[in-house]
Amino acid sequence: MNLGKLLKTKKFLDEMAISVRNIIYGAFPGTTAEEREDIEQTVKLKIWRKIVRGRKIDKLRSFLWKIVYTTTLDTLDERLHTATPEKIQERADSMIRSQGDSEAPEFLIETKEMKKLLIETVKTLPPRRRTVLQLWLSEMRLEEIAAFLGWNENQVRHLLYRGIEDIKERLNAMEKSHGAGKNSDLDPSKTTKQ
Amino acid sequence: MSDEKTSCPSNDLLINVFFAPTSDEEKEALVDHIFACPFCRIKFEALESLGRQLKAKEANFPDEALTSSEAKAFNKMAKRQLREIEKPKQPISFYFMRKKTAFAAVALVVLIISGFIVFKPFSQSDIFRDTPSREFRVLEPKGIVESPPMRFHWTDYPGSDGYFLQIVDENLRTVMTVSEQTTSYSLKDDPSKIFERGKYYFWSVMAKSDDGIQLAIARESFIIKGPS
Repeated sequence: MNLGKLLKTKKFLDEMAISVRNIIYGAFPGTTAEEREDIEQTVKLKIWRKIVRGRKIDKLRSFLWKIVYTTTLDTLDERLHTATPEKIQERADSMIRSQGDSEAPEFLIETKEMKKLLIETVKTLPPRRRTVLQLWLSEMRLEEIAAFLGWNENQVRHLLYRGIEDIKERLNAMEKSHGAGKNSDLDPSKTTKQ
Repeated sequence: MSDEKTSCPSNDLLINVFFAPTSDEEKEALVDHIFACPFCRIKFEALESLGRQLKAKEANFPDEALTSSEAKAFNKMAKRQLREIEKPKQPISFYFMRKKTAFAAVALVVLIISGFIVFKPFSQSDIFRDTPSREFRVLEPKGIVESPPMRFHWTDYPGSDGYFLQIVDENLRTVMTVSEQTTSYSLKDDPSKIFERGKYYFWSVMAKSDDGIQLAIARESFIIKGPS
């Protein structure tokens, strides 16, 4: 490995330490500047320790990628253990897509209650539609869902739209059974187009 | 939430779904859990975000195998990096403490030496051997003398251009004053005509600069034996 490659790898790992720090900061927005600096340092330490302790490197990129992933999760675990369950729940709920994009413009979730109901309703969908919708609600894009599941992009798009239709129908049915005027958020007419 | 937490997939499993080929059923089960578990949802989002960033860097990072010498060089660099990162943590307890102790020891030695130099009493030999003394004294006559003194003698004062001698009696009347270039003065007249036996006399010599400024003054007294 020549010096250029070594330096490139070091630069990459330094950049990744900053990325991981930002990801953790994103998950715990209340983090102070001092804590962020501390996280970055911890991440760097963990990365280099893992490299030193690592077994034989077959493929450098796969090896580094895995180290970055495991370091991120290790650091997140430490943070999650110190956070209150309420905070974690609140943060996790905020990760649910609340507004449709170009892939599903008719989708709009306006309230917390609506979100909870949606999560419950998604669970009732057939497995493939459910998986795609869950990933999409976790803010993954179509091509990312396709890559993650190893499925065709068109197939994923089709499953997503079918899933959204199912959800709308179920929410409609629920609203009808609860009576008009109740849970006005569930009114499909409120799922505005972008 | 706690039930969901206990059945959370391991971090390795979470990571592996991004790497290793997994069956649809396994992936579907994992996604179901992630969607229901706030802990895993946060982790999954972090992995996703990281995945996007890593994907953008893939082109610049071909997945090549390392030769043994390359792996060795890489490991060496990792060890060096680790040492550099760990270094600032160690100093607080060890490295800096060691430095502080050394500094304190040096400061103590300097303090002792300078204290010794400043407070060491000068001996007479030091004065005469080294720099000229700034001490100015009158030498003779002093105390009880047998006969009226003929000669008045004092020490040299460095930098002085002349001396002014003054003798007063016990009633503070001036007996005589005289200016002198050397460190002694001999009376021109018979001393018994000037001094009376049994009386106290006080005399002083003032060292002067060439422009008449007083540099130092020394005093002494004497009494001539005999009936007053």
